[in-house]
Amino acid sequence: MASPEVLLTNLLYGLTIASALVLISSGLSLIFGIVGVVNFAHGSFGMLGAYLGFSLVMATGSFWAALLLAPLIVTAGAIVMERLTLRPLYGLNPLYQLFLTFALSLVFSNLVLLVWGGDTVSIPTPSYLRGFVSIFGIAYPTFRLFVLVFSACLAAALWLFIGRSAWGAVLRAGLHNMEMVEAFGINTRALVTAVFAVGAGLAAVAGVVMGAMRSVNPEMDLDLITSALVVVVIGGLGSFRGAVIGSLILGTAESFGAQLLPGLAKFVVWIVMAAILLWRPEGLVKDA
Amino acid sequence: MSQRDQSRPSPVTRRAFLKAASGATAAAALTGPFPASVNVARAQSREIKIGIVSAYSGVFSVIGKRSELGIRLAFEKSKYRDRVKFFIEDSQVKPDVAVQKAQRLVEREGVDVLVGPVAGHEALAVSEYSKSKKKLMLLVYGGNVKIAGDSCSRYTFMVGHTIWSVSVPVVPWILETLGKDVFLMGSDYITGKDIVRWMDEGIKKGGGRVVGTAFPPLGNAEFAPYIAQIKNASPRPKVVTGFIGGSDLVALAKQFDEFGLKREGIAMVQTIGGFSDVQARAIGEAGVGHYDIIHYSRWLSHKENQDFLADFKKFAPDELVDDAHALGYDVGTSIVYGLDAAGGVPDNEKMIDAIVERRWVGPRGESSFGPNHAIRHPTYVRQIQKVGNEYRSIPIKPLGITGTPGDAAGPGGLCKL
Amino acid sequence: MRRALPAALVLLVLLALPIGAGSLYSDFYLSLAIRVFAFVILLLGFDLLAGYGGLISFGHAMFFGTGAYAAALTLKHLTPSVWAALAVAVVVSAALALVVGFLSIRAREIYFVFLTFAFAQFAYHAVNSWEWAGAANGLPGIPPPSLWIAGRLPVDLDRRAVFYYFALALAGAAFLVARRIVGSAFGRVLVGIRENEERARFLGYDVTRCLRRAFLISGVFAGVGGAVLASFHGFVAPTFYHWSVSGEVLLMALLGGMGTLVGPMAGAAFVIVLGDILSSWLAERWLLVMGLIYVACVLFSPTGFAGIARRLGALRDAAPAERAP
Repeated sequence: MASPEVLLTNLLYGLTIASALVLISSGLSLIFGIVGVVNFAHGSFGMLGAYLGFSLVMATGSFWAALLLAPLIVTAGAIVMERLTLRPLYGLNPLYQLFLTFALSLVFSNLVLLVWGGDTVSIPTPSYLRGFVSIFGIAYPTFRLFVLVFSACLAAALWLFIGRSAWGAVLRAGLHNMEMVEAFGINTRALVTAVFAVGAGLAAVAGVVMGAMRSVNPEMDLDLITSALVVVVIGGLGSFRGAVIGSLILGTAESFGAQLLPGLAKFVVWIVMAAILLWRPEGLVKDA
Repeated sequence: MSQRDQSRPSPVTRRAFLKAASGATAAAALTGPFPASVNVARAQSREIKIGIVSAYSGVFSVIGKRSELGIRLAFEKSKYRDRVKFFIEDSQVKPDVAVQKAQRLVEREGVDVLVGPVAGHEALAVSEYSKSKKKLMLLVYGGNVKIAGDSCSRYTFMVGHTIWSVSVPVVPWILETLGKDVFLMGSDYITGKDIVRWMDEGIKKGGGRVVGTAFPPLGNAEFAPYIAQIKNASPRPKVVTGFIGGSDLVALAKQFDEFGLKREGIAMVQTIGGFSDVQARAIGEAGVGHYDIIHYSRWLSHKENQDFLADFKKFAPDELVDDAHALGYDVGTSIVYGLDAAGGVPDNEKMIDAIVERRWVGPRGESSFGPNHAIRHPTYVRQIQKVGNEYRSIPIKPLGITGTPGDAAGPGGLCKL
Repeated sequence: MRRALPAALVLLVLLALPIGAGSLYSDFYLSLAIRVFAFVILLLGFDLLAGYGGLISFGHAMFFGTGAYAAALTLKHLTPSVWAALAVAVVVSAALALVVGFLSIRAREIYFVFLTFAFAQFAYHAVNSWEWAGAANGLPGIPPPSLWIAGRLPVDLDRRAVFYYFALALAGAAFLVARRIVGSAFGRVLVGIRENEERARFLGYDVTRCLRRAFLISGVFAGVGGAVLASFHGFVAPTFYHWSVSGEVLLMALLGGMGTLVGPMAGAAFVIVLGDILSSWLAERWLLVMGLIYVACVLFSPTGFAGIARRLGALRDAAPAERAP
């Protein structure tokens, strides 16, 4: 069995990944909850965030500028995309929206290839976030700790917003029954666009931090969308709480799976997902 | 085996002579009133069609495009520059698509020579097809050891390398220079697993010790659990080596530094040229000091490489030349060599007999083919160094010429042509 | 009866295609057509389950690949008879579909999609690491199959035109079988389940059993499609199991219009032929153009070609157009 040091490292690492996964998956889950769209292009938002972040760091030299501006640009783009392409399809069989968003993701990844080329790049981090800190006697990279705290704060803010604010109440009502919200005279179109935009922005934030921890390449959209979809399917679509729980499960499964099941690491995600869906065929959580 | 290859005369047997003669009479009969010489002249001025089936979509598209430029440069400098026509197809890195595209090139476009795809499985599939069509194919990448072994083909030349020829030769150097305690890490698919297996054998034979082995999945971006395994291996390794694929390696190198392994003085050695200049740039400071093994570097100083770089500068000024360009160039010059030997006519059989005897000094250095049509190339250890604001992968130690044996003990089994 | 004329025309063209091959146009087009036929069989299976039963599978690559490997291993190790290869492919893919269907049918909608996806990914990674199946290299060098039956009729399928007719016949047979199933009582129950599962249950139908049966049939169709492609190419590789095959299937079905049988078949032909032309023309940009075409298609006609055809038919008959499902 592994030493406590390894267990703690894996736990910390699992939490770091989970916190980033919350950012990428919550938008996907909420947009499904209110309009029933499975947005396959959600991973593209993360990838575009990462590439824009890379270019912004290269141009301005500031990681913080990238972390702020890249998500804003992606958000603006997502609003345009939602209005022009998705809006005409609401109310149809969700498969057509899946088809559309898949086609859009194909367009995005090929645009990325055109603009940035196919070589792997990565986002440089500020020098004071390099190196590592000591937690309970183990060395943990400073930047990862930052990602953990930063993403967890964002996720908590989102949680509070959905749970406490007036807008959050409308959103929760929308997740429950969109027609009812409309009947109250609330502008549901704006609500949908807002949720879409915030979700895309959060995915872009996740793209920037993951691009700094890992690497940025034209196939990362697929990695991101697969992880995000697995998370929300495990957790239960349309539920923020489900996305958080799904992220924690996937994050820890990935970190401990590599340790406990050497050689089977590539199966871990699929084993976990199949097992959970066989046990609970509608995901773990069924609420907002 | 090598002697047999070197001393093989070009056989003019009775049968070959008769065949050639009857071909000539048939051609003369067909051309009717024109004398045979006109026919030859016509053949020598006809278009030469080169079909490239390679990766043009997805992340591997950079390899497809760069090697194509290398091939084009070779033709640009040849006397066939006005006669050559290129046909480009995207294999999508899928064997069934690659074969379908090769069929399109051979059967519809009627190409004279194929240039094959980049991944091992698709290269193997297209090699089988080109064998059935008796169509000459040269591989830029696609370093599948099977093609150098029991699936070898008279019609296929591996011009780039095999995964064996740019991995295993580094083992003695590692044990001698960096240390005897080695941690092996390979991406969890055939290439990573094969390389780790061969290196494991080599290390044990060379008196080293394998203190741990890990196989992260291909496409893995998180190495924290594996780094924890390295940290927990006892004794602590001096070297981490093996094969981790492209963008995964960028993540690994960054995290290797983040988690303090680099500071601890653990060396990293990647195979198949993992740390190219482009990769080194992506990794940045975290990569400085790491090693890899490959057959090319733009920083090689021999004349042929300098000439090649100068030519490229003129041909495509914006390109950052790396091994894909150099391999494409070697493929291009090999085709040109074969054409020259066949009298300017793309007669595949004559071209093959000539190319197998080719010995040349290219951008990589002294190169030739083994009897199994697998390349023998010079091999170097490179190290990432920071020069000014640039990260460069600079050759620091030549490892001599390496090839891939096609005998029963070879990595791909016995090659019978 | 209005549809009989175009159908007869298409059949006539398909039957005549090999005549000009090698002279008027290249043999290559037969090879492209054989790929289309293999996918047509796969798509018919997919449509039975998804278009009629309402269950979207994202794991059909698994059955396609299994059929391909079963046929390849049979041809390589047992007999060059293409019938034996097909029989083994049917049996093995049926067995797999039985197990996967049994486990997956408890979930619905997106959860069903992902359960089948998980199983398919599992199979993909497994095949990728099995040495006896050639691991990532797959199995090259499969001997050309023959139409050999008990010592008679040793027609070698090595000739492309012969294989073309063989694949065309199989695809035609698959279409007739699928149409028969759709028209049967079982087919009507499937549609009933798709429209209202609760109601079907109240009417006394064993919904789970029906869907499992549909899944089994669907998996067998996919396996036969894989077997055709594998025996034609003479090799198999784990990419047959790749999720992108499942994605392509869904794309083709949606593009053609699900629940129509003919629509998904047209979708398969459209995607394969257009993809081949575009990728030859624009080797580097073709996927971008493909993506844009898909976007345009879905925005213009969300219900696919079948929707367009229906709309055209509706205009002509001046009858109200049907609403998309």
